[in-house]
Amino acid sequence: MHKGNQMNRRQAIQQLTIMGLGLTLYPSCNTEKIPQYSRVPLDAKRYKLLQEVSEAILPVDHITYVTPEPRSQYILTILNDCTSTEEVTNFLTGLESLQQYLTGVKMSDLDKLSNDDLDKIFDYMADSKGQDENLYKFYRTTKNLATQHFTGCEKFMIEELKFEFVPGRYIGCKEV
Amino acid sequence: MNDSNTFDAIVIGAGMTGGWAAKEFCDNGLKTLLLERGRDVKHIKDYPTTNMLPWEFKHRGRIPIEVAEENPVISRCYAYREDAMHFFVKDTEHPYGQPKPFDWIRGYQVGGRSIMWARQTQRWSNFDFEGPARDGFAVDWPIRYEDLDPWYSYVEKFVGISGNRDGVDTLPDGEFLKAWDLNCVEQHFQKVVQENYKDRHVIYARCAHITENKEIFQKQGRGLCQGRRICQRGCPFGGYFNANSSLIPWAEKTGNLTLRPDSVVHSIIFDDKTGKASGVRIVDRLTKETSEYFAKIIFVNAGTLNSNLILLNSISDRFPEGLGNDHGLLGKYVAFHNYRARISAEHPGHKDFAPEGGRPTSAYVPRFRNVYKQETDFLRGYACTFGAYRSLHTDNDGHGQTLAEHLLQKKEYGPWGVGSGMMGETIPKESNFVRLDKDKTDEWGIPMLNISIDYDENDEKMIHDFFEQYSDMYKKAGLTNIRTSDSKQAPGLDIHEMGGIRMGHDSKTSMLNKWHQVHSCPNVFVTDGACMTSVSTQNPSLTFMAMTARAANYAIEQLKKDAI
Repeated sequence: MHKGNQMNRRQAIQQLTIMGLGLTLYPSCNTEKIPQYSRVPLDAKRYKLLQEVSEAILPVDHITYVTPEPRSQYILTILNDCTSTEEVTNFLTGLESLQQYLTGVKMSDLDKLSNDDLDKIFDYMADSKGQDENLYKFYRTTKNLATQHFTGCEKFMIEELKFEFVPGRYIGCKEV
Repeated sequence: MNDSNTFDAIVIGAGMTGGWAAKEFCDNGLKTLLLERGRDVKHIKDYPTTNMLPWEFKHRGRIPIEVAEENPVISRCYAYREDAMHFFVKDTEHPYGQPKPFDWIRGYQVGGRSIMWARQTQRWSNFDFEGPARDGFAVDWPIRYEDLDPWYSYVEKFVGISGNRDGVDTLPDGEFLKAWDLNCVEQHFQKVVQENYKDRHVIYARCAHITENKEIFQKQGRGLCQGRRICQRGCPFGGYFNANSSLIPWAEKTGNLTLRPDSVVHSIIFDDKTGKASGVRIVDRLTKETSEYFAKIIFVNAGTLNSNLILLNSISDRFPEGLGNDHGLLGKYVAFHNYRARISAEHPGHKDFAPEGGRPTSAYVPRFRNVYKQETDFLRGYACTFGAYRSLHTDNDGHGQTLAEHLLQKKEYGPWGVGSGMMGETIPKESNFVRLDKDKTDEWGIPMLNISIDYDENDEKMIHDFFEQYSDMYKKAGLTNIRTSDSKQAPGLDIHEMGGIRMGHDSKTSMLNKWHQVHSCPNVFVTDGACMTSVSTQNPSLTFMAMTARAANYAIEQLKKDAI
């Protein structure tokens, strides 16, 4: 099993803090400003939730799989710069739905939940298609962007997808 | 006139053909002014993204939505991505009229579109040059393959063209460097086509990439192509050909070149007394100041539609409707390539194989329709690409730890995908034209261009035939899940607009003679895509370059004889 697979979600989230990526998981406990995205306005509470969800939906070792920016920053940058107003609205509405759901089931701090509890939350989001479309779209968007961010990082592309920047050759028929 | 603004030759446009004209003039000792409306772009130094890795792009290649919404035309271009967007003209910066939708893809800089071109370089044959006369459209070409053959060779040796000597009469062989491999699925398709059709051929596409070290490339400072497939950013190896890495620095080394970027050409100055052009009037892109430059010969290489614009805007007492436009033909009979149709499928075989590394192109199927005789209910035909691809896929199922485990543990090759894009010949028509807008000028005081170009019934029939023929070919090759699609894209997105200043035998029915001289102003030559009488199916840049080298050397001879 790969090193990254042995890490649970809680550890993954905590690593963000350890790495000092310029963001905090606990903005409500201090005065540090959260990044501002004009088309995706988030208060500290929702920003923290997005951070936690985007890490928990794909927990990986960020020390091994280094990325140019934290995952939540990537997601918000793509949303802010490259997606339609409708998609942004769906995302924000879905995030709000999640917030309300978590409040209802008294699970507000994702980083304190067990893997089983987190799975139940994600299962609920994945099954919300047709019942809460915005929550489902939020789930899809967050998962897709988190996956793109991870699979597009240097180590994954080179080691897992065999990416070569300067291949210098082409072999048309290589046995695999 | 003074020494500082007088030259032997002026070349308008520092792209691929303008670069060739400048090189030929400078090599032969002519003091040459090369005008470019855009900024300067130096090889390597001005390729800001050429060594950026995929994960280093803020948007991982995407175009910001605000830019895309403000620039819908350029955003439809396949190469307009985060890594190369700085080489494309934004719609908002240089608007034009579209009575009919036309996606005009432009690159205003030294090097022009040669920085971002697709680098496909197939020769024309006499099946192409004899087309209009045989099939009764446009006018007869005043040249034949034999006129261009030595100039194709001349250009190919300098540019570096990889390919095989395939012996196909519709696509003459040239001076080739070794080709990359066809992969096993492309070879399979090649074999099936060979077995089933005597007049259809699957070859490796010839392309402008260096695959062998030769002295001529070393002199240019260019090295081997590394198969990076990000050529649109500019290549630090000089592995593919563009004007910036080869022609322009080559011309500069002679000491005979004056390169003037940021020079928007307003018009060509006509001298009624001599009956020739005396120079060029420009507007500085940045200061908006007007100045004039003078020369004995003027080459117009501004890119097809801008070359039309410049001649249309070159008004004088002798030519009130534009330079050389005694008959109202200027700007008319524009044509392009029909790139609307695609077919794709999967190949169920060769499961134990996959390609490794990178190469700059794939397979190519030359035109086979209506070659030796008229056999369909539409004129002319289409060439086609054929590419087979296979890559590692990740398993994105699940979420949380399950998703992480899937991504890291479950990777496998997907099925082979194959695809073909049609490259159809369109028929030049009087009704496909460009003209100047009498009411609107750009910020340099130059009338805006109105572009009125469309498909016709011939194009629709051709698409239908392409789907039928390639579906049959795909089925014979055992390909599955065959899908056809018609993008309905507007003309222009092929980036192969041609004509408007066509060549011909007769000054009453054409603009240029067989040496690319304006019939009624013989010291003005047009050698970019605007000169094309018809468009054939092949990617045209190699032909433009060969034509330019031929015409430039003719002009030099005439100048030496004081006959121009």
